[in-house]
Amino acid sequence: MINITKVNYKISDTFKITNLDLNLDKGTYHLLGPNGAGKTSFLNLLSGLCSPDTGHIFIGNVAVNPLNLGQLSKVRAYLMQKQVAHFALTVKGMLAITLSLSESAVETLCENHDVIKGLDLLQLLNRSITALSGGESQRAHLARVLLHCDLKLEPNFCLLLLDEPYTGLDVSHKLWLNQYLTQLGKYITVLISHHELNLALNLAQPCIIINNGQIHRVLTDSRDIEKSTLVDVFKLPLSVLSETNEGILQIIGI
Amino acid sequence: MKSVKKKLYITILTLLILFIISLFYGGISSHTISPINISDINKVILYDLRLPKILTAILVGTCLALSGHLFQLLLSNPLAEPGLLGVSSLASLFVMLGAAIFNYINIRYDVFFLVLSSSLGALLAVTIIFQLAKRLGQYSSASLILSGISLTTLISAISSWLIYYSDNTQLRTFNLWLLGSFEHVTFFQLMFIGLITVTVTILCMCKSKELNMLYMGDQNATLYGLKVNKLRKYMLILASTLAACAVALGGVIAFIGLLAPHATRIIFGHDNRLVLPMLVINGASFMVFIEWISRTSMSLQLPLGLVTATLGGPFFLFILFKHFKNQGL
Repeated sequence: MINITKVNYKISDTFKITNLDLNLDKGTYHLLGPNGAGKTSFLNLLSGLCSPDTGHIFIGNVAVNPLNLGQLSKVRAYLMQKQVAHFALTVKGMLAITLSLSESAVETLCENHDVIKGLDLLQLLNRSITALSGGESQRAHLARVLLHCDLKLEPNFCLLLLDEPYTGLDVSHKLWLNQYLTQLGKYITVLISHHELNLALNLAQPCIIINNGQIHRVLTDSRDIEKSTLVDVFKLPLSVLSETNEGILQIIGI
Repeated sequence: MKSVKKKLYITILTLLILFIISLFYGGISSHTISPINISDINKVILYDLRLPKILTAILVGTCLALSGHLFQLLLSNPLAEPGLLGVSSLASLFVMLGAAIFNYINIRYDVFFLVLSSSLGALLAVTIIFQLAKRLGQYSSASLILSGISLTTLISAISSWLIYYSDNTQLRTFNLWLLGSFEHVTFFQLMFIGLITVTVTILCMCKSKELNMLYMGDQNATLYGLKVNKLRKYMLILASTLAACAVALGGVIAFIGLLAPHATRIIFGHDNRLVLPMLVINGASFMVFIEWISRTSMSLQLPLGLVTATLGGPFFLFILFKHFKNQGL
């Protein structure tokens, strides 16, 4: 579904993304890597926010390039790491703008929607986005992106990109998000960049590990992440790695 | 939805009432005319003296409110306003220079050239602000406002030099452009600039859906399929034209571009499909009100800029506290 061929992208003189070659099917993928490994740049490239110097990317049959932004917005959604809020829009107003619906249509949609229920947004709909706490704001923007990729609204949708979606979420919403994204992975490609290594080690989901702007490893089961990877790529001392009775690797202390 | 309709009626009614009060009621120091049995002298006062000024106020208010809102949205900065950014002052400086040049080469300074020089000034100001803000720090909120302030300072220095070297008659003309006044507006100017204003306003309203996306920030708007840079350039030209029209009619009138958009967004929310038409009405209401005050509160007519600055200063502080308290910039 997602096809990345020989992508190179120079970000600065000292950092570049090299030799991205990847095909992604439906599923929930975890994008892992230390700070500055190139995760966000990778997502920016995939979303079409940045254009690669060489190579090409296809989402379904839509080529990712600046001329296709309109078409791309119908097949992919991207939750960026940081959100800007200069104006005091209400959450409802924000959803209305991004979904191209009227505010009353948003109200009807939200009344009985899994995403709104799961993220407990019903009571926040009339609050202004500048007055929300960090976690609340993250939930509102998650809802914006998850509603955007609701297959009932956009039937051709195939790629959801999330950059550190867990930031600021409390445990129950984190749990709900995980379950929702796992379900969603049955229909579309979901790519989550995050730092919750223990979570990834527990879930039997595919993962992509990148380091220094290159793909280090692509695993079909995140439980197969090796000790050496954790030590070499993530710079963890061996002493914090332990195995549970089921033989699953865990990191102690995070 | 019901409450939106109610607010809409109240807004339109406010403008109508203000229009009638401004036309007939003389306030403390001016002549009150009864709408029944209008004498011939009073007809002259109404149609030749008051009505043109009120119509000018409606146009100027519309231009300032719309351009203020657009600048705020396009620069992602709730403090942006043609007056504060230096757009109005550069436009008025260009109008003055144009007047000087046309006077020198002895050609009549037509309304067409008036609007042209004013628009050139406004566009140049926007270009300078963007270039400065880019170098100062990636178009950030603070860098845009700081470039605006530095531009305003530079222009006020130039204006001051001009005033220093001018004689009495020139001084009066300069004051007119620098402090704002509707005294000199002719009916033909009103028609010409009115036509431009209506056209530009309609062009703006055609883009309201795209403008809505800008609330989400540039990158998110791009993700939703908007060609942000193209839209921004186009809309900045429209917003500058509106600011230039306001200057061409009434000189520099600060703070309406701040007051009207904030009030309108507080009342009607942020959807541009509703906000843009309401801005036209609210901007007009504010300006009609201020024009009425300036005409009736003192025995001599007050400069409009004086009234708006007196009311606008405290309001600016209010906005500062509302948006930037404990946030830095």
